[in-house]
Amino acid sequence: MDNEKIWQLLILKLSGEASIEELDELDHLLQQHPDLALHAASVESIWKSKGTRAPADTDHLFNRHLQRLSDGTADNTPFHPIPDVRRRTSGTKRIFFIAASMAAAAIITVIMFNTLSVNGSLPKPATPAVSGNFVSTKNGSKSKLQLPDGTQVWLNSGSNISYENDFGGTSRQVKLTGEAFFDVVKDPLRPFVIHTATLDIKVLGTAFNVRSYPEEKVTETSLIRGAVEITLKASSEKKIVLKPNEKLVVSNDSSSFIKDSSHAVNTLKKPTVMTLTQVHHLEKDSIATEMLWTRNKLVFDGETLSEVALKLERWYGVKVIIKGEELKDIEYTGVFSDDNLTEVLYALQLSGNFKYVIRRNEVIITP
Amino acid sequence: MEKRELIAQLQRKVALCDDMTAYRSLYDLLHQELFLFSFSIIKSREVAEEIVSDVFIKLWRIRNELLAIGNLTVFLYTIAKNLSINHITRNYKYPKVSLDAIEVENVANFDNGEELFITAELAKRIQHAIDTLPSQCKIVFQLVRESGLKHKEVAAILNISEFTVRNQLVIAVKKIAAAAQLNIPPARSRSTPQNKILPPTD
Repeated sequence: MDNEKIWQLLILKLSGEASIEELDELDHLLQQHPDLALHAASVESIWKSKGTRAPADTDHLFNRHLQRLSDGTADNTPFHPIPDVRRRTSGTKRIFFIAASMAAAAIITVIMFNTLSVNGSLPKPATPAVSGNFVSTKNGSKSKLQLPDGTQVWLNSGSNISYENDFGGTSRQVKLTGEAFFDVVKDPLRPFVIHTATLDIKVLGTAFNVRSYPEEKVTETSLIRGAVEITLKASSEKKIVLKPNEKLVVSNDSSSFIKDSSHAVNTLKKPTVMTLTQVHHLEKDSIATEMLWTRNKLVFDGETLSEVALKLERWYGVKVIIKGEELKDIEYTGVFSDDNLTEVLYALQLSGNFKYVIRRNEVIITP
Repeated sequence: MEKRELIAQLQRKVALCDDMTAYRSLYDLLHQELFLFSFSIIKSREVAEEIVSDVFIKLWRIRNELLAIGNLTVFLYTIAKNLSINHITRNYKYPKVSLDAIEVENVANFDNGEELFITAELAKRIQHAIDTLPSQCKIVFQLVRESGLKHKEVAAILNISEFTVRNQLVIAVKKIAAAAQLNIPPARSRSTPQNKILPPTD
């Protein structure tokens, strides 16, 4: 019976469930049964010699898991993550997945922000809208969200949008850094205002694209339908009303703007300050290039390699380094759908006469 | 942080905040052991992977009710077990209702590590010993040793008593001891008469 007791105590010890008393008792018993002590020792070594399993490729597995989840969810359960730009699946399924993942990304970021505020132990984000809602996208991911009033917002990579908790009370105000496409629900009683670093956009009900990245030289507003009224931060008495298919490009450098503002608004001839142009369609009857990103298309519309590099950094979440000043101002035009970074770079270098190396998250472009 | 504590914390985050990052962390923490568990029952990598994915789909769907679940690990294992058994009963002519009736695959893993205690020959014998254990015994052994579950947890997952869990472990450990007995180097003295090195068998 002693033997049986030893085995019982031994498995408790091996499972990490033995109390100190039990461990003592086991030691004591084993001293009395040296034959079993040897067994016990070898069993213990065997038990403990756990090979390390090769770590599974969890990114790959998890993405596949998410795909199954989004494919199968009838209730359109929100989901996150990074749309896999490399994957080419057929039509509708893919669009659904992107939509699902975009929607989810938004929800998730909102949630993460709320979690931080609840915990209170973590430093609060430096944005003024701490009391409200904050949605941001990292480079390499996009998201779509719906504001409390039903307004749809597509948020491009490396961007953020915030609004106070009282959004929709008497007015609808959001702050935007980066690029977003808005489809605003009509509500004449509560004007919808978007604040960017350079200008404010007031709308009643409309669809338009705003691009206001701090690292870019200009802020662009492209109106698809409806009407918007734009107020420049640098000279608030000037109001510019855009008509459908018009696009306003304003320099982010407000000092240069103030200097020339008297001419700029009327003549619109100083491209460094402010330009009113048409929304661009690469093909007749196609959707405007300015909003193609919401369809997961990467567009370069006569953009210099420097601008292209910025877009690539945001779109793919990489760092792009251009070595060679002479390359930076060459312009590129092209539309890429679902292409991976290598495919895009390959296509660009065919016409651009440069070389590139991709190293982990870094792209180096050389003459 | 201890794994159980971490899991409980992530569970709360998923439940209260729909926190996708926490969900992903839970996946990273548990998917491999759930996979091994399911694989040992199903014996197909593809199906086992699907089952683990289904387990996590379920987790996401009921995320708002997660606070009511005392031990998430046990909960997820139980779903994995049920889905695995369902899969088998669906795909076989004669439904088998208990794990005991299902041939269980051995997924135990032994390695010399740095101690060089376990030779390839010994590892083979131990694996053989585990291979020949009864199904329930094999599963219990794997859940405790490979996945580090507590006896109480294993009992809850398999719907057996803790007493049974311990007895099954004793059976497994005795089997391993018998296999290892042939390997105890004579130099370590106290060799008993049975202690002889057998010629390699095939």
